[in-house]
Amino acid sequence: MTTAVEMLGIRKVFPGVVANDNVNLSVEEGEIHALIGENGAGKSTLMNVLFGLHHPEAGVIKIRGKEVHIRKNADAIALGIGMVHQKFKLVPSFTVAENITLGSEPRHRGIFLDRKAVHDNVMEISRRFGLQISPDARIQDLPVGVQQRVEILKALYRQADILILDEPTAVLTPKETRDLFGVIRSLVANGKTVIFITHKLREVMEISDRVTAMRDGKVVGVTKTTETNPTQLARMMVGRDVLLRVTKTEAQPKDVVLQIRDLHVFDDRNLKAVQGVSFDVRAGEILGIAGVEGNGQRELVEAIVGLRPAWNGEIQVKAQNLTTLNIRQRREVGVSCVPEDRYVRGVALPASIEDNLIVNNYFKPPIAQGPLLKPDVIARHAQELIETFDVRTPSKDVPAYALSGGNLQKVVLARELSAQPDLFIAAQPTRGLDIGSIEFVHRRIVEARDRGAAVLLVSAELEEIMSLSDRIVVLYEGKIMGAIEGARATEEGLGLWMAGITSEGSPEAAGH
Amino acid sequence: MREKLRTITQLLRNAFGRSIGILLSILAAVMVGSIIMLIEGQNPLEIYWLLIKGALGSQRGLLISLQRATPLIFTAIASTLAFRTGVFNVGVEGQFFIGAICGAFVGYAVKLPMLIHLPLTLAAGFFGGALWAFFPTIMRQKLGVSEIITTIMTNYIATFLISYLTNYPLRHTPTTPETPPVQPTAQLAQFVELSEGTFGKGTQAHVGIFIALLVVIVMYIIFKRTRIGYEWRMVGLSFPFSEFGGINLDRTFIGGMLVSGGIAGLGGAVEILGVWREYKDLFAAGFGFRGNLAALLGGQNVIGSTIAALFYGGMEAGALGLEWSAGVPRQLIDIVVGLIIFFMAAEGMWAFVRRIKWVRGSRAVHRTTEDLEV
Amino acid sequence: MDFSWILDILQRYVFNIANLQGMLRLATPVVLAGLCALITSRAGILNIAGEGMILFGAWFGVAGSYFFRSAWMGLLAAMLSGLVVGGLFALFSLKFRAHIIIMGIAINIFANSATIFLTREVFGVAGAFSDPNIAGLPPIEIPILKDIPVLGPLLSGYTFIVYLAWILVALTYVFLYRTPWGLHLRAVGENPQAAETLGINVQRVRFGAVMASGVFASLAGVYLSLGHLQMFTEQMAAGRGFIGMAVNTFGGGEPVGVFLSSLLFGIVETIGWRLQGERIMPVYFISMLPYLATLAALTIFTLRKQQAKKAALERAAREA
Repeated sequence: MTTAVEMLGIRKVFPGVVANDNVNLSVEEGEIHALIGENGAGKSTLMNVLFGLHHPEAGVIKIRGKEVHIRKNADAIALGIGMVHQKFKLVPSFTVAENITLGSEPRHRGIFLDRKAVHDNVMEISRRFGLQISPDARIQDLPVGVQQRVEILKALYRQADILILDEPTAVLTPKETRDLFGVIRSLVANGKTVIFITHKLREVMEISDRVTAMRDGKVVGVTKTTETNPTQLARMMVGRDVLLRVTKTEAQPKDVVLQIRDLHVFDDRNLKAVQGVSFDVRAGEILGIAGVEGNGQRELVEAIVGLRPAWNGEIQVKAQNLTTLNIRQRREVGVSCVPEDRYVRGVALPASIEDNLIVNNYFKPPIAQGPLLKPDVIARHAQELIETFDVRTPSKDVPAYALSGGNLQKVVLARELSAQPDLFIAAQPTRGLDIGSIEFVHRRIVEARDRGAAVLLVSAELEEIMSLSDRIVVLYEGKIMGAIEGARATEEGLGLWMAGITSEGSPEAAGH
Repeated sequence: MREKLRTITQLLRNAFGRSIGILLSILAAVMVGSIIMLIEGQNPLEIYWLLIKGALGSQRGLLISLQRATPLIFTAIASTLAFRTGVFNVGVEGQFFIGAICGAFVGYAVKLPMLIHLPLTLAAGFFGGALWAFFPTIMRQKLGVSEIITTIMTNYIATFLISYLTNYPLRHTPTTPETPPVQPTAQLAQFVELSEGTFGKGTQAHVGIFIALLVVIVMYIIFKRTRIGYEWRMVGLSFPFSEFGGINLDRTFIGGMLVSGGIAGLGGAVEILGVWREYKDLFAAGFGFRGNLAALLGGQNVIGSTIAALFYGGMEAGALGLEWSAGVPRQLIDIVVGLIIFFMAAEGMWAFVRRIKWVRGSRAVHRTTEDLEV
Repeated sequence: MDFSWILDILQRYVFNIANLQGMLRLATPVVLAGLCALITSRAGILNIAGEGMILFGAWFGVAGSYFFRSAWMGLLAAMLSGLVVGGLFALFSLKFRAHIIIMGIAINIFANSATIFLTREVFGVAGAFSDPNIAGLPPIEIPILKDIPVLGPLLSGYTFIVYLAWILVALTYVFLYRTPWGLHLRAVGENPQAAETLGINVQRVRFGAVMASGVFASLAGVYLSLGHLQMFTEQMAAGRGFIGMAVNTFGGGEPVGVFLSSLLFGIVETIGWRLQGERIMPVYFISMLPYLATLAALTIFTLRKQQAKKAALERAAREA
């Protein structure tokens, strides 16, 4: 057996982050190779390097034993590499055949589309690989699973032998996943090589021949699938040395502040993102919501804050129904939130720090007096928050875009915490921050709890969830997979829940 | 401390980079203007000199500049207010006209003491303009129809509506389409009248300029010092942030647009009461569009737009003189101003400036909503 | 009830040869302006500069025709102006990253002043320029067809640009749906990233679209200045660039849709002329009709779209 892909000593640095640090990857021809790791472990970066979308600072790539230089996307395609991205790159109003042939369409008399050839080519290729598809259907009318098949056919049409699938099952239903696995097996039977990026361990066990695990930009293990088990893989993925331990006392939970009952929320594509979720958060405790991103966390937070309507169910804060209130009214009830999209919703980048700090209280005393703002109070308010939250900035008047990510997050924290919230929501609060800022944010979250706020922490970082939460709930496909005391949770256990595996081994049994 | 210093120098660089961009834009536009003049067989240096002399070289020139700038200040501030909240109000033209006709009507049809009549007339202008902005605003905010098409449409509708009004119901003389003259109690005095001919002879500069400056000051304070001003600024800078912060987007957008229309309308009324004293059909088209340009030229802020409007007014006054003396059409000024804006808007064009190390990092972040339905 | 009066009115104001001819004539610049909006919007560009491009087209059409004593040279000059203005617009907004709306506003106002300036400088007149030396486009009588009753007068005897507009509608359709480049353009408009990963040069496609839109708009301009009366009038585009955008929206971004909605505008305008002839209401209200119709069309269109969206969510909820 020959080696299809060999990546040696790959190093890729983004501003402030080493995404790939001396990474080696070797994929045999004709195998299904799983590439696993947490979000941000560097899997996608590595594959984007292979596909010519990123340029590594160092390292060698060999395809079928020959050293190659992949400068652009087209080079990779020419080498027979195809990639199916997590977010499909399809044109919704085009037919299946048009999408597959786009960019290299068969022509008729040089200037016209040869629509018959387009159709026939697609039929031929779909027959050859056993991927059933109707070439004339429009993408927008097709279910996600079929759209993915189109993406695969797109790569095959361009004669890909090496197929990269980036988290292909993230958007699929269980049945679609089974179909996809069938397709992958038939591809391999046709001599193709597949690299399968995922963090769902059950799937790794089911489909792959070998596994490479990544963590923090490094490869932490390579093994044959038959020689490992989910527990061991989970440890590899999440078992990083715990650098940050938050010192906190035992929680003193008091009354229920946030009460959610049978909540249903739709996402932007009119799909149900949150399906019948119920939980409570008490004053003086931190409830951590763990889960792979895209399992309904965003929609859950947006529904509580008021950015997205709740289709069904109850959201109560301090026994007051929130669903009929607008965002400001909810904030006045006592809801504060550090939003997930720090740069979009958290701050107005071109606005000054001072202005960014008053969006939740500019309309009431002491900041405002009637319709007028009180500049001296605003200045003092800003100065105080800058000091207490240690925002490193030359002045309160610089625009937010002049600050580093950590300082920006401090601005958001300062604003949201200065409202003395009863319910404090922190969504992915430390994503992309440096160690110092992470520690700072963690400390503030615990302080908010100790002051008596109910804290809802949403994070994809297991470590963060485990070190901060008093109780933990895991979301999977919009449902709660399980709940556990923070002290009793283990990384492996949570990791399995996050991957949709319950202790009994079937995700469907895990609802409630 | 080092970080502090670095950020300060960064800010200085930003400011410097921006002004260099503006300067280069003006320079480039002046040069293209010169080329046009050369093709026309004129001496550019002479033309520019005549232009400046005409605008600033005499008391009369200065006053004419002021008179031409007065309506532009209103329309520039109106545009600025809308642009700042992220709405491209290109309907300022129509709102200005509607305000003017409303002012003219209340000005001649009502008989009241000046103390009531004048404010009432001005208010009529304001509400006329606001009313004219109302429909496009609602269409944008409730249906998501781009305000660009709708405000342009309402401009045309305004023109024809006013032509109708001045030709039929409000017509005064059988010979020309114009309204009856405004009562003296609603007129804004011209300087030449106040000084009984000793000051401002041969000009129609009037006290409306003070109303314009008052609007500037009020708007400046509103933007800086009031809740609604804060809302306007934030919504324009980032509406996802404002929404998340709890600002009512509908109310803010609609309010901003109505006040924008109102200011344009007020400008129309002031122009009627100060200069024309009766509504002549199509008395002076283009004030609204020039206001749009002045707002863009002034960087979409209150003070900048006011300066740009004064500059524009001065150039127009100079160009009027030029038309008489050198036979150069005054639209030349609009062309030059248009060119300045092209060059200013083209961030990427000045990229080479940014490549010089010490001005790096100055990129305008201001972007507005572009995801609207067209 | 007797409904014959409705038929009567329809026959009087719509379904007679003269009115239908008027409709086809008046729709022509709107069709071309609509295509101008279509080609850019399908490439994912918000081009509001159509109005200015039309004005330039109208002016250069007259200038070319006047100086070369040939309508065809006018047509050529106009199309060149369309290419140049389109090219500059593309250069500034795509390459130099100028804000595309600000750029569009500036071009429209600029075109207005520039054409007034040029009229005064070059022809030495203000307001409008007409001269016997401006050659108009001759009407084209289509052999055989012109002798068929009803169809003959309805379809024959228009100037070249009317036919060109029809041909361009068809060509645009063929281009969009039957050629690889059309496929690329639509892909760029709908999902530029998808296009990019398949090796399509997004920037180049958009550049081409903007240049094409300049040519379409300039043809609309030539029709206004040389199609009927041979003259240039200040601001003679009269909002047709924006009406073109509305027509494109209303026509669903489809060439045929644009054509049909333009006919609707043609009818509205024809009825206006007719009413004016009968002195039923003041001419000013009639002149407002196209603009009111535009607002009405946009309102109806978006209301319907909003309802469809709401229905889709409700359907999803029921299914879930």
